[in-house]
Amino acid sequence: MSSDLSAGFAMFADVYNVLAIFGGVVIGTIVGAIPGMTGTMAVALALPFTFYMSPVTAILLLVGLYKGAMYGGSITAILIKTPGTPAAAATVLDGYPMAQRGEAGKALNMALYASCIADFISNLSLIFLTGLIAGFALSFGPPEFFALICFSLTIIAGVSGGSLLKGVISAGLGLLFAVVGMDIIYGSERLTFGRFELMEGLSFIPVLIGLFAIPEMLEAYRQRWRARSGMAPVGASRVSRAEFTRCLPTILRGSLIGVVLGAIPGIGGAPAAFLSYSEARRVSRHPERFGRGEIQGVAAAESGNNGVCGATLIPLLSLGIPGDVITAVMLGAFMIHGLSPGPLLFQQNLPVVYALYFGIMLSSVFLFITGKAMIRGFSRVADVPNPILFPAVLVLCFYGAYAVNGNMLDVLVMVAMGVFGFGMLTMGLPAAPFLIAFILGPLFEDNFRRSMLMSHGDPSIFFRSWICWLFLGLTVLSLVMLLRPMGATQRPEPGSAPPGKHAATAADGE
Amino acid sequence: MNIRNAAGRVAVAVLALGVPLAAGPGAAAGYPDKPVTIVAPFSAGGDSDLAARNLANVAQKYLNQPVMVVNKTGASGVTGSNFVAKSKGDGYTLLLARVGSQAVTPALQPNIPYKWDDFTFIGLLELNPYACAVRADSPIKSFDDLVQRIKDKPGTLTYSTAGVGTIHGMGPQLLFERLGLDKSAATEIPFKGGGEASTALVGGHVDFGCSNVATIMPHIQSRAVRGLVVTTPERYEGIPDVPTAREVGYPELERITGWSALYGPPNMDKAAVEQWSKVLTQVKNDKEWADTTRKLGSVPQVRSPQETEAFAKEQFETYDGLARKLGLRQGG
Repeated sequence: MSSDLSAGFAMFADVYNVLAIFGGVVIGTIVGAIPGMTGTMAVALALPFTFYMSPVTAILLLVGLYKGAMYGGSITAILIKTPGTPAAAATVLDGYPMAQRGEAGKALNMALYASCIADFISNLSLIFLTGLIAGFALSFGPPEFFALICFSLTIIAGVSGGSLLKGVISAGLGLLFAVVGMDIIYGSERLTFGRFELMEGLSFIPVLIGLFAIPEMLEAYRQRWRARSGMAPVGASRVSRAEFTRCLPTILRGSLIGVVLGAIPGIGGAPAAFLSYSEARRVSRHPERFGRGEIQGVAAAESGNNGVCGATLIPLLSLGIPGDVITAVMLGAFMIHGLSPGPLLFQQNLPVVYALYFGIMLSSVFLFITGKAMIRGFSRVADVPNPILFPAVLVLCFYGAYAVNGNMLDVLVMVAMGVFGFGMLTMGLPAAPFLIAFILGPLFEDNFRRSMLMSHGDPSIFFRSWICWLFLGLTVLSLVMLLRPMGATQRPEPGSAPPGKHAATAADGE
Repeated sequence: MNIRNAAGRVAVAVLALGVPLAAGPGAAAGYPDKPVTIVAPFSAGGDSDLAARNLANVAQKYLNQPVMVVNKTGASGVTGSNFVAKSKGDGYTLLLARVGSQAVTPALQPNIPYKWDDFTFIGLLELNPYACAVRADSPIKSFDDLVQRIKDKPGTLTYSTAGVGTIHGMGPQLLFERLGLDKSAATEIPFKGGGEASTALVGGHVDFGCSNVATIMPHIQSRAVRGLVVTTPERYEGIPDVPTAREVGYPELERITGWSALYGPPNMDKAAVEQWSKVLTQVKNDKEWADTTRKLGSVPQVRSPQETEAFAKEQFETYDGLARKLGLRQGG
């Protein structure tokens, strides 16, 4: 054990490894911050370069890219309401309102702290809990997924803003758009209008950009370049100790959610971020502040998505199972170097595993340093006047939509979604439920149908394990807690409630 | 420690391979006088992307021009393939053809905008053999066991695939056809991609599963699953205990294999085809290319334009026949 550990350290202690992690984190952060450039792309494009590196250096470079990109997505989400990666979509909800209030620096810093802490916790769970979590992850079959997704869909209530009804309408639209394309079970085409281009459905990034960034610009135009709320004094851009202490439980909870969802193959960062966000809102004493620039919202979203990072390596390293596209590419990198992740890796190449652990721990530190440097540069973006900023962002949106697949249809989708999103904004329909339904809808349907196929039509399969019972129980519980206050008027909180609050609660009773 | 030696050896090998071999023979006059683009119709990091990048990496030193890989993804590879099918045949836009987008989809979905032979065939590059397995604790011990169970109680077993209409689901279908059963002799549970499909197999959520050897081999090696059959003519290197399709008495299963090939737009310039065909013979003997291909879990298999066309035809006809007999066709 200890000889393996020292051999691992010897393998790790190499200037190239340190450079690889550092370079990976820096490039990943930049890539993540550019809409349309995802972590997956960064990792896949770097892969051919890693053919010539030693195995540990190669994997660490990819890990650095992955972590950097996961964090980098938050930068543009906060500053220009254009999440660089899907996982950063939840960060928009409170990050952008904070930036509008002139607290961009504060939001960015909070996002960084939350990301780094979650990342660190995720790494620790990778190192110490792998055996425990790996088995748990494997017991997730279609029925367990279905139960988990049911529970996750209750998030919609948490991000609906004032009116649950409007949230549900928005989610319904999201489900409708998610249906486009070939159905995964029988391969029948739905809402493709006979166009092969739509066979795979609407791409995620163009929908995301269209839904968030474009309506914001159209709205600004409608209000004729109303000046932004002025420059933020530098002092306000720091996260105060009190704020940090207030957010810490949220961050820890988000990290835990990230770790659990990250370890289960096939879920990813976006649902983790949203689940963490809605949990933070649920336990908060001031849920009405969420969505209006609540710093806890940023902390929750970012800890949720970065908590996923280390944990997705758990099924990859211990079982050889990639949980998402990025880890699938990493699996390729392992294979190129003649290593096959799984139980055999731990038996035959334990020093390699330890060397990776050392590097992964170091990556959290680099993430913090890189993030700090980026924030200094980027937070000025919030001070750029709209007539200069918006055209630049618009170019970035078009570029991003095209870059994902190199496909003009995606650009059209983005423009169409932008107009659609503007319509939703005008009618007061919140965008977040649309997005959650768009992400989770296919998972919900596919796993339901897979389960029914497995059981040959017997619904009792949804109660086959304690995991099913747990999540279905939680779903019922959340629904009861949601619906109960609807009839009764909530008592107003003394003093602290902002003026908008009463309107919001009144709307809740619709 | 062993591993340090191994790492040292890797480093030496990398150094040795990194030294560029002597420059290739002088290129034929004219083509290519500018960089060549290979379109990978699936996303970065996938089989087609890796095959394209591996080829581009090596081919440019024989072509004396840079070779770039562009991912044009969407619609199960149809978007990128269609882009090349409609491109100019000047030899500067090529396609990394895959079994899915060039054989299975054209057979299963006649409404896509190209046919299997709307391309110029330049050369086959590699095969990705296919294997079926059950979880280690399954009562099914051998391929015969599996066949027996399917025959005795059709419709009771479930199997995971990487998605409806992928070649993963075609192996069992070919077997059902051979056994004279219909397409529901066992229930297909389609997942999104090979990773999810093998997770379901390893997690014990389905009775058996078939996929690329590369995906399933690590699980066979770690004894999480038991390999029942592999579709190579001879036993496969990393999993010598797994019998071949011939050994278990179903040689036609050998037709089920993934592959990558290099295609051009229809009516591609003759000189360019010839030049590439020459480059591919050099690539075939390039150790760096072959090593990387093997490490990615594929079998290097470079074939001439004529052989490639014959192979592609046989592949299309296999899936077309299956689609007709078993009623797998979409929309017609």
